[in-house]
Amino acid sequence: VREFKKGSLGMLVLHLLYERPSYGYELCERLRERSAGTLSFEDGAVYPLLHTLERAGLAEGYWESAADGPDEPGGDAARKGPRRRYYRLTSKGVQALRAAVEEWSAFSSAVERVIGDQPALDGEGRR
Amino acid sequence: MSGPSSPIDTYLAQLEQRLDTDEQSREQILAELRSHLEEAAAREEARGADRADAEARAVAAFGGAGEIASGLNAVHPARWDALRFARGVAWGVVASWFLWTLITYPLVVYLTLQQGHLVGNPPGVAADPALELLFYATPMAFGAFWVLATDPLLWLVPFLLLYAAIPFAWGLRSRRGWRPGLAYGLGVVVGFPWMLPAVVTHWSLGGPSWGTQVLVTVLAIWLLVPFAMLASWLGSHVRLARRPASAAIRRPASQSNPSLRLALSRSLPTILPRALAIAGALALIALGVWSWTAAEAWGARPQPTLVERLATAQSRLAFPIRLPATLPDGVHLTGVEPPPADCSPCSVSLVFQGAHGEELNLAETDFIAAGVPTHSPPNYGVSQGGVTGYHAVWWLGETVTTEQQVNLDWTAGGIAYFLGSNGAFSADELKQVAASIPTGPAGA
Repeated sequence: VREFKKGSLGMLVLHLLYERPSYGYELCERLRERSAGTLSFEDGAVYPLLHTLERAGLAEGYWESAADGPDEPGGDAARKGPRRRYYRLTSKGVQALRAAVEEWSAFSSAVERVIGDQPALDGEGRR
Repeated sequence: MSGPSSPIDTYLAQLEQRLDTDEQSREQILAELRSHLEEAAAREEARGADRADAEARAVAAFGGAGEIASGLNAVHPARWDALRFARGVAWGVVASWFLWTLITYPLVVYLTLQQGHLVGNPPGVAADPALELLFYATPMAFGAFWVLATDPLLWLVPFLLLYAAIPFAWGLRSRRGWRPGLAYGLGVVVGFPWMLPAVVTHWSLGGPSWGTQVLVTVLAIWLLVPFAMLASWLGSHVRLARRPASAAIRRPASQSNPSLRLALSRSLPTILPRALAIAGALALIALGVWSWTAAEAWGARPQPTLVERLATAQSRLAFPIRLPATLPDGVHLTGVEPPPADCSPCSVSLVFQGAHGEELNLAETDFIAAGVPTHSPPNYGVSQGGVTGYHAVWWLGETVTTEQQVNLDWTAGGIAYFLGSNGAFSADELKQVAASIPTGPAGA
């Protein structure tokens, strides 16, 4: 289960970056909101992952002030906010995301096939 | 903005201390993390928390500084520059001296107690055997080689600790692949500068077999630098493989009691290596204290007299021990080393000493059982003569103190004799001593 969880965070972050460039804090918030609080993690853990993606050429980091950030709600170019480090997917990152999603789909389908038709787990099982 | 000693500043200072990246990466990382923490704190403030509380919450949600720094260090490895490398070598020197001594000491004491007499040739730093053996266990002396010659399996303990455990632990901590292993391995080599003269000395004094053994050991220490590099590399990658999952599925409310298991699984990778290191250090120190106490007790036991030691030796020999009738002025019998109970061939060693450090060594060996006489070292001049009518071989060579050393080998009456000195006596004096030993059946 641990490996399962470990592998999924990278794919989730890649997916969120595919939707739009984002910065660390915003990524954490989006993950929490989109998973309705089911996925919980320490915020700082996202940074080694983002830096790893950048090192591997899957994402590209750049600094921008808050007000002129991409899709920043209420952005005002004349009033610059604190600088943030945004990340966006590279083409290599998009390919990696596609591969990860395919793998995930195959995996989850297989799991579903195995456990999907089973009765509710409310007994002690067959002996 | 956060104050001078705000939770965010304190947290970032802790994280900076743990970051081991180059300067540029460090600044970028800290700026990025500060931006996150400030925004998280601002969000908490907007929800009604006061500033200090908001910052504390933001920091708490961010995670442990050590774990995050460790993850970032892996992505941004600092360059292994000259200063870092020199520091690694220095640590290798210190560790090799400290560990070599600490690990060899119990082994030397253990083997000494087993054999019943002080091992090797400690230079007599003190009359205290515990202290003498401690000196003998340092890299300045030959205790470890003696352990190797006596029990190679025991020697594997310091060997593995020096070249496997320490570089592995260093790799585990620093996550710098093989580089810490290289620095550490070279440090160990630098920590043993006496090795080359030791090889030369032992080759010339002790004969080819002992010299070869030391040479092989020295080469092993050099060749095992790659072994240390491998251990360090393995340590780095073990840590990478076991890093805990960053994301966790939130448990249902009924199970959301802050789980001890979860806390343990998060902190185990940090705690376990430290706990092992502390336990190992404590065990070594305890073993050292025990060894010191055992050596002191052994030194304080009633010592058998020379006569008793001679009687013990005689009871284990099939031939009568013969003592020289003539000795140089002021020189007398000071030591007898009996053979072990199950000896084959059997030999007794006798030590004669004068008041000014002059020393004669006489060994008498069951020649028939031994089969072959002792051979002289290759760099000694050899001449032949006789001792009381029996064939004898003289070895003449230079000792390390440039005094001429004379040794004499001869066989008589089925017994092989060896008479040597520490360079304090001339060849003529030795011949006189040898001639005064009643040899052969007629002189028994």
